[in-house]
Amino acid sequence: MKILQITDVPDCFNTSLTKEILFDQPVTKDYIQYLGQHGQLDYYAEFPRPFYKLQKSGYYILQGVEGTDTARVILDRTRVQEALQNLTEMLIGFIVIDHSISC
Amino acid sequence: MIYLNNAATSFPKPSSVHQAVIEYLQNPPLQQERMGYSKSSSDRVWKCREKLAKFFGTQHPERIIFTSGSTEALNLAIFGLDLQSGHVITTAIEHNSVIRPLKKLEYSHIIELTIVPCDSAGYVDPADIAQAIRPNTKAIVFNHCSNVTGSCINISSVTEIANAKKIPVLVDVSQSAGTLAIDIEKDHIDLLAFTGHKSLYGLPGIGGLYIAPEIHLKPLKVGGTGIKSELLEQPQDMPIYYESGTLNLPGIVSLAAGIDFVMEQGIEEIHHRKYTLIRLLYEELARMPEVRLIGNLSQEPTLLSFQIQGKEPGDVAYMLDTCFDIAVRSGLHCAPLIHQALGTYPRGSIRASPSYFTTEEEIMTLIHAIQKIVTL
Ligand SMILES: Cc1ncc(COP(=O)(O)O)c(C=O)c1O
Repeated sequence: MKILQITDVPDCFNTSLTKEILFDQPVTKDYIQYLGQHGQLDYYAEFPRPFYKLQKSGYYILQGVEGTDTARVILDRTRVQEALQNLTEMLIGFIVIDHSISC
Repeated sequence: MIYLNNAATSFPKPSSVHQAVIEYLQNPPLQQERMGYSKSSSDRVWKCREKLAKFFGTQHPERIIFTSGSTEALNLAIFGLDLQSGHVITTAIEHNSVIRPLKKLEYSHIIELTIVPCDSAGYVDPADIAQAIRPNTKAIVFNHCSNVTGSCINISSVTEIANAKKIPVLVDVSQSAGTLAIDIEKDHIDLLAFTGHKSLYGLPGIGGLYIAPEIHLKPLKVGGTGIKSELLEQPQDMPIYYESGTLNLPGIVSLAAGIDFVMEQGIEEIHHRKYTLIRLLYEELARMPEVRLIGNLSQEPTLLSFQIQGKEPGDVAYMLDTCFDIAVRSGLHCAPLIHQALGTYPRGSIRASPSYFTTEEEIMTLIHAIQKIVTL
């Protein structure tokens, strides 16, 4: 799985950096289970569309819906580069990223 | 999708609005004259001014200026008034479209600004506005109805005091126009800023400002007016003095159809429908100990803000959107000061705002979704 695009999500706040990630294919249950090795994972399979949320305290929150090809990441503003690197490294373990993430 | 973000912009629009816009696009005014000033019944812009005048209770359609929305109308009023070295009063329930222009004037040392606080439910006491008046107060600017709590400020209780002291009053009716009755003449309003794309069911990008005959504003922009082109300075005639450039004709046509729709349904019926849905939502959410309701029902609001214990408002809105296909709005709603008073700053709240077209079933779907989210 590859990241095709990362776009800014404008919101009301000046304290977090929210970005939308576009993958090249829909997120699977395997992928969500893999996320669980890297932080606190909440997975709500009983929702009409199953929801997951991975929290890596002080770095980022990654969340999205199983079966879709997008996810949202909220980076901690105080350590954006570190959080991005951390996220990238974590994702590399499961997916191949074909271009670098810049902020 | 269940759309519950009508306080931001209304969706869907009545089919009569669709038809009016399509009709305009198929049959635009191609005659040579510019529209809007001819007072002829075939002039769609003038007709819209007349409808607005009737709707807002003024005899002066020519004193209704079209703008791109409330933000531009508020900027025209705030930067157009002569406020130099004066004092201005506003409130804590304002939108940034009031706060930022006023703060800009304050930071430039042009005005002194008093922000009258609200209580922890978002209510502003008009007596506190009266108390803030100083000998050099040059304007009072207030939001009729909060876009965060739905709390309202009684217009005439402010204008009565202000009129007695000859202080111009600018009222932002972005949230209330189309939901609550507004009467410029009865309420002695000097300046009224409204938007077309919320409860007046027009397209985004249209709104306006009513300017009372005794008020003079500096125009925000000058330029082509389509008439009196031989003049090298801005013609002083109303409304072109304030309306340089090509008007947003599709927006104006949509607004006229939206106002017709509101008048046909009746303001009271529209308010009753929306409030009934909010009361249902309020009562059901009040049963959930994890939900903190913001504001109360005492003024029969037509929107509701809340928080869920231990959950970020943004996460809740994202879950509602992605998992349940329900659109609400989270965050500060461009109104940071009221959130400070409500204790919801800086993360804000989740806001649900139904429209005339929202059904009870849709509100029940929202309630069930929140029931699931709170148990996580
Ligand atoms: C209270 C209030 N004032 C002003 C505005 C700005 O309106 P517009 O989008 O027409 O500029 C809004 C819109 O959200 C509002 O709710």
